[in-house]
Amino acid sequence: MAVGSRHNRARKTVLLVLVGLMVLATLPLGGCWDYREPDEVSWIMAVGVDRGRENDLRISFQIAVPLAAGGGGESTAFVTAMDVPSLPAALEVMNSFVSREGDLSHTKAIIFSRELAEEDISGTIMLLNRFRQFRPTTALLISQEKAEEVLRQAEPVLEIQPGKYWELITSGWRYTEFIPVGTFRLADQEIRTAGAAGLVPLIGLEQEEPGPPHPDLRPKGQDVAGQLPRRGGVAVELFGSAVIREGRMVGTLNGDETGIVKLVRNVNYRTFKNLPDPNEQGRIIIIQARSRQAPRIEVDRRGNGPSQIRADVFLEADIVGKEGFTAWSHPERIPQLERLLAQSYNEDARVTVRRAQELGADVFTFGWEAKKQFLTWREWEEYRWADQFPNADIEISFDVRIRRVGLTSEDIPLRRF
Amino acid sequence: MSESPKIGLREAVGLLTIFLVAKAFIPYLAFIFDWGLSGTWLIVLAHLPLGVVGVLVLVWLLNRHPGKTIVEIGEELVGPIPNIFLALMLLIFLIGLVALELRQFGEFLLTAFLPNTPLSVVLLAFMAAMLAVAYMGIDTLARVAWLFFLPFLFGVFVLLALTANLWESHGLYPLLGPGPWGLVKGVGSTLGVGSDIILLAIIAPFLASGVMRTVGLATVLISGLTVFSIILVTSMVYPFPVAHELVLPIFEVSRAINLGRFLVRLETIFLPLWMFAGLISMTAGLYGAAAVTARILKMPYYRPFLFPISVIVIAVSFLFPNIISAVQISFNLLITWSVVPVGLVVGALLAAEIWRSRKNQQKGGPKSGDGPRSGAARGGLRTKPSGKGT
Amino acid sequence: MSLFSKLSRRVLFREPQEYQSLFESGSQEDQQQAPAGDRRQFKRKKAETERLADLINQDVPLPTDLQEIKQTLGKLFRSPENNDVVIRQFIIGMEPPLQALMVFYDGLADKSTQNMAILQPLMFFPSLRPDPGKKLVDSLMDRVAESLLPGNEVVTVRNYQELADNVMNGLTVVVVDGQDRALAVETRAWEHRGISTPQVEAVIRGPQEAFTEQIRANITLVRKYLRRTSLVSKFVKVGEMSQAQCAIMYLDDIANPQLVEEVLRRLQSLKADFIHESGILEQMVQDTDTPLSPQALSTERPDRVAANLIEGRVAILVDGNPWVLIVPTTFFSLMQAAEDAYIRWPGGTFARVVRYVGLAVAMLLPAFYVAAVTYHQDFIPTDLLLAMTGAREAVPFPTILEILMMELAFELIREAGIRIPGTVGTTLGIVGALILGQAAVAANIVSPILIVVVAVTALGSFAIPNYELSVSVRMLRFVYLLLAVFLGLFGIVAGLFVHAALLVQMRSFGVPFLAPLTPMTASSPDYLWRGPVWQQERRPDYLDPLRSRRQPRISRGWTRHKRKGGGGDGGGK
Repeated sequence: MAVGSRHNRARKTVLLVLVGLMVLATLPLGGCWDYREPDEVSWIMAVGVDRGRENDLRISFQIAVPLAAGGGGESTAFVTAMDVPSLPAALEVMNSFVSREGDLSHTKAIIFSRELAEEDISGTIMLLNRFRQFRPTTALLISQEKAEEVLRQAEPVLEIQPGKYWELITSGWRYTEFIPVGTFRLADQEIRTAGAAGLVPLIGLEQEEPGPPHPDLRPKGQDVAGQLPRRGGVAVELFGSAVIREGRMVGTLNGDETGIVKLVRNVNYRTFKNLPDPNEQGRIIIIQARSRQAPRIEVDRRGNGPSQIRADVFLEADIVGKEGFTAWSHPERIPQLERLLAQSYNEDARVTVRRAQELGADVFTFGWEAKKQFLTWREWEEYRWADQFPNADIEISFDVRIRRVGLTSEDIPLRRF
Repeated sequence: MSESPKIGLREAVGLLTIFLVAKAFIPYLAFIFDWGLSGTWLIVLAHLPLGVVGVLVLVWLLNRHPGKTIVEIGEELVGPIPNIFLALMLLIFLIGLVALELRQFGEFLLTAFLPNTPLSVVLLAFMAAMLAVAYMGIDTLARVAWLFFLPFLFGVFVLLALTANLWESHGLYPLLGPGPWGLVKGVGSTLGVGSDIILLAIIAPFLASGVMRTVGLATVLISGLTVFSIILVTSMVYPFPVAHELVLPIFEVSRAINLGRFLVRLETIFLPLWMFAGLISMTAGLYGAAAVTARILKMPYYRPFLFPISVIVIAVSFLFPNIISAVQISFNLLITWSVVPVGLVVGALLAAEIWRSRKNQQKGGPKSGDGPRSGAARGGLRTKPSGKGT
Repeated sequence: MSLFSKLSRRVLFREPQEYQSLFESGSQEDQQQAPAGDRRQFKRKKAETERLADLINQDVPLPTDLQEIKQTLGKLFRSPENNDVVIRQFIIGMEPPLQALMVFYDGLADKSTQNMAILQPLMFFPSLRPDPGKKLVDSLMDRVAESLLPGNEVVTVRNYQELADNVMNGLTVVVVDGQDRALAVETRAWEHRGISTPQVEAVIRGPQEAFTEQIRANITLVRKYLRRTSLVSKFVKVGEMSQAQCAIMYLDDIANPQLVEEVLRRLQSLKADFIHESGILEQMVQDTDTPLSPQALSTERPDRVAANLIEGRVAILVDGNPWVLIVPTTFFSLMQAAEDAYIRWPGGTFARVVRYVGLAVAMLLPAFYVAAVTYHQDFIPTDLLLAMTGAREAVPFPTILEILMMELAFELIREAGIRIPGTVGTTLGIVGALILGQAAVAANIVSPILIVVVAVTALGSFAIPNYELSVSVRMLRFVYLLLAVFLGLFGIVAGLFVHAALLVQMRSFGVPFLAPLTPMTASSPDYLWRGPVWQQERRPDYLDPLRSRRQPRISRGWTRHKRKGGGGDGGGK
């Protein structure tokens, strides 16, 4: 009864399934369309976009050379550049001189040159949003020199593949104050939505001649990429950030300013701060700071005029080093140290705010906080945050707490015999 | 039916929930951002109580006629001729639903994973699997849905949770988006997200007695919360103006996952989640269309209709020349206007049921039924909100 | 006869025809008649065998004349061509002496038992036991049975069928002249393998006895575990087997009587010549012939049979085969091993999880690998992808061909390893696999990561406890591989969808195959993971047993009753 018909039904079902599978199997007689062997594809690790000479853009690709099994080749990547009207065109043009089809799925970084960024990159950004092969987790970077040159110089010393190099160096925002978060998705939102401005990591090449001498102490982050007083290692350096407003680069922030912006934006990272010791000339106290709770940002929209913005940033710090002999790690001294630190940070913040308002770009994304004050989208659009920002009254104050003092609590004074 | 399948409570909830939630994975739901701007999540949240009301109404109607599907209830209440119209509306809705979902799932695969494969191959592959399983019966499908249900919920919430480090709460503001009246308009224009619940009325005879209300409520609550979470997280990961441009919102959300160097490019892991949900959802729709056809024609078997309906479905899927027209028409037809056929069907049957039960009451009571009592009752009964099928 | 058959007879079958005619008288007329004579002989033989079969099938009673019986028995047992059968005439030493004969199969019957239990008492001692009060002739067989034959089991035989059955089962039948009944005496003793350790279902923490080919011994093994009067072992006549060759066992106070009835119904309705193996019997009795999965659990462990009988299932035993079938079964029973219960439940759960992972890996890993490497390359971490690309530089074959070759090679190794005897077999399997893989990589036929994939797949399939299920999984692996090649991960998903649907609608003796998961029925926490032993309170609801509780809610009485009194340190409890 029931068993028999179910038996028949099962048989018929299996038959139907088999027929279905057979039909499926006959379809790809023309070949399986998306079937690609991994050794028929060339993987592009980084893309550089410059102004072109013979065409609109000059696109450079850093293509990984997979090492053959059992031994190393000489180089693990090569760079080709071509003058093309657009990025997808470059993918096609490259097939004429690269033996394998190019693929952007594993691209780690896309670098725009400064000269191109100062004109307009919004077009390319919108293209990248739509283009399936390009991922929102790629890093977006802007370089002072030509992007092609940067790609050529990016030969990693610690890694085998440049892809890993790009991934690691752009994730330096976790433990460095000089590098902002560089994800394409974030940059895209900052650039194209109201209430923020794009903050994009800046790349430079190692400077060939040393800069002007400065024998006294100065803060470590005052430079911009390409001006770091350093020698050795990969020629590419990431330092500071480019500010993008309405799809165009309007200026740069140096390392310290980038650090302040990151703290206000609640990007949790750790950084060292070198505070000049007020008691001893020429000595510094070194602390390592990180954010201890999310910053509190209050935006007071005063009618339709410029807003008043108060931001409180909470830091906790460990005393990492001390050059002088004052007992800063003593509990009585610690509040003073905290105050000094807060003052120092507040001063840095003032400088940064001034710079941001000068550039007219809300790199702090206060606009996004302000958005919460509006009830409807139209009100928000009508307020025109980008125009109101340069006139806003902004005050950022820091609150620092010292937590740990490292391995020694007191330093024995150096006795003069 | 030739033999009578039985669907348990959990299986029914699994089947219906996946049927309702699968639409969050395909492009057309993203157009809801056009109505709600940054307050879209409020619109979706508002659908929840409306859905509860709607499903309770539907369940009340179904419980008055145990063991019958909506086609048979219609026949009993409004007579065979009007019932044919009602059932045809339902049939067209279901076929349109399956066809449009099929096209969009196919486009999803093509855009996201298989760019060079022809659409027909993908659609035929979907259809072959759907036919095979629909042929095996609704109870088989319901059990497969239950098997998949808990991993499905888990997968969706893992997907959403993995993006936690990217959430920007400002994406939910300005709260009221287009303003309160805009939100109400948005809610009204998107009631169709819940019209799929009519499938409950088609599998009603196979459920055990007394569980209908639990099934309905559980379905609406779970699917409502799931869709709400998806929209909420999408709004937070891609705040408003950006979300509105996305063709495949859930795909983009999964592409954004970035937890360190290793946990990137994870969207391929979630492909089975979406495709399984799509397969189950569309097979349920296919079965529903075949079942309605069989019952209109008063045949005990639905299986002969599966193949013809699948041919019609594929033909309709291919009607649109490009994805954008498909998505736009899907949104208009399925989310904005599908409330009309479903609402008409349920509303008409509801009205007929109330009228009939009142007639029965009147027969029992005094003949002069025009006193204040019945007048008040009539007035009270007449105040039903329009657009029942939520 | 057509021209063609005449021709073929002349051309092809000439020689045997000639020998045949030589065997016969060799005269001219015989030669001419040879073709016709062949057919006549065929028909004659067929008619004769049918007559003999009728003797058995139609309950022909035994005649009283001994010579007649002796002749019929000779024809029935094909004696004297059949050298195995012994029909021995002897005289019962009574007053007056009676002719009697013994029928038995040499080798099946135990000679010393015969001597002691039949020949000696009948030939030498019958007059020592006078039977008071009964008339001699009428009660002769009773007297012989009750007083003279000291054998343990004495059965009365009334017709040829019972006689033949008993002789075939190794009993010795004693026929007495002038009686219409015969007696069958238990003299079974044949060569057999002793009880040994399980071949396939080995456990570490558990009993090491396995079934043998003797159905009696197997039943005894189970009865040793379940010492309950309600344990029924019922011999069933199946197909052409004798009744003593197939038995079912069940617990009468637990198993659903409709289940038992259904099992009996299916078994008794079988008509086939050779169902003498539990594997063949399983295929005759199962619900559907799908390649997806077996629908009966076959096990060689008596403790497993006992545990399943206690839950309310039925066991089917077949003589000559150490594998016992347990019906009905679900997918989860197929994935259980006996040891899950014998070790503590976290260990049991862990082992089960590993097994499910093994199942998934065995079925899907090659397909996933192909899909990931050829369709979804963006999913693979960049470093791994570049390493794979580099490794593939020298390999000429596309991925799908590589993997098919290696999979087939591993299947060959596995199949070959079964045929090679003893320890050489297993070593050769491992060594062969390793060397083959290594050599293949060195010769640039396959890429190294593929060897890992194929090896892990093979290991996964070994983790599946049920042999037939692992065979099914191995076959399905190729189906999924094909699906992955054509449509990537989506092909695998569509395949899984249809596969799940097919599994869900499978039934085993009426029980849905994936119960208690779908439909969700009450059960102990024992299907997806293993719960603690004291929580295994219910029998599976899908079996509808007569008693659904097997343990009370608190099954460890010692946890409830605390020790009474302080007692001091030495106070005994």
